[in-house]
Amino acid sequence: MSGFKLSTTLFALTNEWLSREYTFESLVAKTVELGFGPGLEIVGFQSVRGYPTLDPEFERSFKDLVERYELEPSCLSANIDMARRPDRLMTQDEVKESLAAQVEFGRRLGFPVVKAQKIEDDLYPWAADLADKAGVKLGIEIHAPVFVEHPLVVGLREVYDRIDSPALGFVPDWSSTMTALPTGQLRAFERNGLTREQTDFLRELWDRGGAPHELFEEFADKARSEGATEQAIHQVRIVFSMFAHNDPRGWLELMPRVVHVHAKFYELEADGTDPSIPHRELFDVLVEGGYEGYVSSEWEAHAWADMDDQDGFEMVRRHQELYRKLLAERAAGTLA
Amino acid sequence: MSLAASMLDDDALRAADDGFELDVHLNWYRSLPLSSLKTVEVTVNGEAIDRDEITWVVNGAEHRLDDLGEHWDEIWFVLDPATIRVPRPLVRTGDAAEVTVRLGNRIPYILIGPDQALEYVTEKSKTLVAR
Repeated sequence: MSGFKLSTTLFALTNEWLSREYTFESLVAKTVELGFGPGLEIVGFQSVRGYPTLDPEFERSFKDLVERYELEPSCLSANIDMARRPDRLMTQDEVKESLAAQVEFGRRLGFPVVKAQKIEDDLYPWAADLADKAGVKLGIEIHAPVFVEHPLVVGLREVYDRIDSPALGFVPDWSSTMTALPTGQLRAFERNGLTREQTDFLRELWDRGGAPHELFEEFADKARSEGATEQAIHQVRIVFSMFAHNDPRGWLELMPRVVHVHAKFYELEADGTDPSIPHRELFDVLVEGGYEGYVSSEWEAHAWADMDDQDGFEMVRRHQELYRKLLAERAAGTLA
Repeated sequence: MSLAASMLDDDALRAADDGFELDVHLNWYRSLPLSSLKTVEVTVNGEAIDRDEITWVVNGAEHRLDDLGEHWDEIWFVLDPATIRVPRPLVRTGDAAEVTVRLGNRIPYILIGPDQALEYVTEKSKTLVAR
């Protein structure tokens, strides 16, 4: 019997949030009304004015919502804005200050995990101590374009092994283990100046795989020779940083240190089929890996889809329905 | 709503005494430091506005675009509009105008090179009636 729990991330409801038709409270209330959760994840810089400073009024209302709806804060999604200054990256002291403020924010609101992007290797002993004292786990996100065998991740695993602190972990993001480029993204590129033939070529390049930068250059050369504008070409960069093609079973190596999961998806149909994310294989990896934390339903096609075309609530509902079905099958021992 | 769709509301354009004002929303899913804003291009009825003509009003303060880089410790909250102010009388109250805005933000936590952040650019055109 697997012990993981489902979670909503309000990031999946970005379009609804940006429509300004909801307050923070009413957005959360609707997820509860639709039966999502019990976990709740937020992106600090998205949901909270003044973040990472914690306004006492927000703290009160957040805790009140959690209690009223029996929610379980699952993960605070933090960001280290390394390039916030145009002239230079953050110094190590600035990274520490930024991360410490966000860990403190997470601690006060009861989040068991604070997710961040990778920091410099020699900061992890300090970060382990920071997280340990706050009673949270720091989860470094493993997101496309990297995967478990990427030198950055291999290096991080060695650092973790050396420090061996339970306060340090990973947050896998399913963007690293996709089976196809989302069709909606390709259609969006066509609306912004590429031809269908060019997006077909992009799909072929992505399927073939290789170093992201080289794939992009190969695409750019061809599209440029066919008269595509620099603007139309530039938008494609995101393909090689946001979507990657790897075997889901690769995640098993990381599972002992996984502290939270971003179940990224884009185009899940009502019948549970999905051309770009292998949900069932990923579910099996979580079960086989003995994962016991939260799995956030992270629908991200709002990056190109309008709210009128795709309803974020419905996409999260489908995802959680699929996972609940798989969990029930698992519990009943009917899964092959 | 999408990032592009939410950039310009129907009531975004206002005629002002010496010019016009245009409210714009952020073209990213989360709040960003003011220093992220790199590209701001505006055309009104096909007429391009020079970068030097634009001032940027956010959090109640007015800035020259080239000064925003200094405000890396101030955040533009994702639900708040910023206002583009242009001292050129290109629109009159009640008139419709075809407005195009192109915003580019450096995304400060997505690095695509050793020192280079991804610039996310969004263009939105809309016919707006000036208030």
